[in-house]
Amino acid sequence: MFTKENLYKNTENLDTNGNVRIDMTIVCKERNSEYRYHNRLQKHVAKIKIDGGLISNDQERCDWLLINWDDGILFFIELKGSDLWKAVSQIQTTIDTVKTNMLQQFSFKNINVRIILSKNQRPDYKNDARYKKLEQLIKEKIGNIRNGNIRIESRQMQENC
Amino acid sequence: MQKIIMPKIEIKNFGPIKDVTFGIKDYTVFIGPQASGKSTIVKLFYYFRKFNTDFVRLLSLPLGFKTSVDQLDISHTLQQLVCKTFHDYWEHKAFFIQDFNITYNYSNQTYIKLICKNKELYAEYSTDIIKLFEESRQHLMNFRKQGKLKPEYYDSPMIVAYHNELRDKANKFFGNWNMKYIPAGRHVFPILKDQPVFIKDKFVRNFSPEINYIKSEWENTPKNNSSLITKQKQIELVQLILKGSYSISGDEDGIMPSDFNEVIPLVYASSGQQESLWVLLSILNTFFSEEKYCYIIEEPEAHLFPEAQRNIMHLLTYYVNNKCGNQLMITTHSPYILTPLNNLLQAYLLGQNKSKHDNVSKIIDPKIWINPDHFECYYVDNGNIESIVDSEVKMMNLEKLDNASRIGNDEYDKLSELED
Repeated sequence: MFTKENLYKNTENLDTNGNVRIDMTIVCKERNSEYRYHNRLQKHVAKIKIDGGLISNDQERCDWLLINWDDGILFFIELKGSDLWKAVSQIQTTIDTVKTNMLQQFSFKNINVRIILSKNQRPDYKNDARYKKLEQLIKEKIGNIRNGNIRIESRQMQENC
Repeated sequence: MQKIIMPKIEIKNFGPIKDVTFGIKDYTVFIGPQASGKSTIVKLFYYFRKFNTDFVRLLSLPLGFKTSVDQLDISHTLQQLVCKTFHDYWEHKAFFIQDFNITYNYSNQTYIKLICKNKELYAEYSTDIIKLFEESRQHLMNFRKQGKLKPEYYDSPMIVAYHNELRDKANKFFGNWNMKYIPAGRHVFPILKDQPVFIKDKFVRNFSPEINYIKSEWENTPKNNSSLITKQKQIELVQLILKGSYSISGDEDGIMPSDFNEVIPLVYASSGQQESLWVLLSILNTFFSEEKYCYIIEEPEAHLFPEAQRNIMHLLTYYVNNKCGNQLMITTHSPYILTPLNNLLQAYLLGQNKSKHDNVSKIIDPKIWINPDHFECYYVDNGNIESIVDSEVKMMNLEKLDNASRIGNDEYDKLSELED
């Protein structure tokens, strides 16, 4: 699934030569939720459709994947709906599909989770085994975890890179 | 392989409970929908723990339960002991309509089994309890032969020794606990202060004298400067929750608000203050005592704002950790009671790492770290219980509590689809 060929096949922002374009802003939008990636450092960042693109079977999956190929950074993005834990579960299942040796093969150094809910979540969601398990999954894949790896916001999220 | 924890209780078909078995840890929380059986479980636990008192009373001079030495026999008196005491707590015949059985293991060898068949209640005792009963009966028969059963002999060395031995042996089998049961609906007591009222529920009824005991213990416990300083945090928590301090002078008791110089009589205090006051005072009293306790508290969150719910859980955790052997069992409806505990569990786990210990201590007082091995949280529903502590990360998974929000979220998503 996560072969280089498949990743490129599902990339929406390729130029005429089949290479990833350098876009100033990348927007992922769904009804009431919006994610804006501001590519200030002008890297090759691919916008890849997961839901109905890269993953087309029945398994749980998140909406979008952004790959900063220059620095080896992944952004898993989920936009639909208001249920935080469903979004977490979708992202978890998607990340699980990316085998760890594949991460090393492509020199991916960092994994980021971006969840944009259509409404506000009660603030104490971090106090839960489910959140801890998401953190552990990331730690398992890339060796450690920091504050910026998981961001959960409502309605709109800006990413400045 | 799960280690078998003692004591252990097994409940089959009693009240709303279908099939529940678990070992009892020092710090247990039950959460679940109303009428799911949380209260039934903790009441049974209380009953079996208190059984020690009834057993000893039966065999102490003057003999309890209106028995005489002649009437003391295993098949009769020991059976009746259970019937009398159990029916006292669970009066209504509705409890005995269906066949049930309940087994409480005090230890591997010591147990009591209650069986209800065809609306009749029977008890099965382990051999060590039966043996103790027989030995005591023999002693009493001997006393009678020697004519020493009269009240004037109660202080004689022989009888005193008999009582001490009986108590020691009973404590060895049943455990020796200072049991405190704080029921839901406790805020009615200040309101009904001067009205004579008969409360049917024995658990709630028993609480009325307990309130007087709490008050008098509060008044009589010496609180010198040094003990007040070491208990500073706990006292602060109580004042935060009460939004003031408890004040008792003669017959009048009330609360002096933090920002006001007059004492407001208890009947006029807020329902949150009334409901939480007894829990707070009772727990505070334990810090000034040498003994160990076992507290059962129903709904500590009653009438409290979420922040106060967090404060009361911190206070209760101070209590559990204050003395080796202190135990706590609570029933709750509120996620605000559970989420602070997740942090306390995490703090304990991180704090085991020597290099992180001091940093964790700066965030959370080590006196309220919760050791996951001594903690359990059960979700009660459909007559069963399920632990919601994730065995991998040793934190609680609150998925079962999310149903109300999930329904709300579904509705929200459907409505927002109709937005322009």
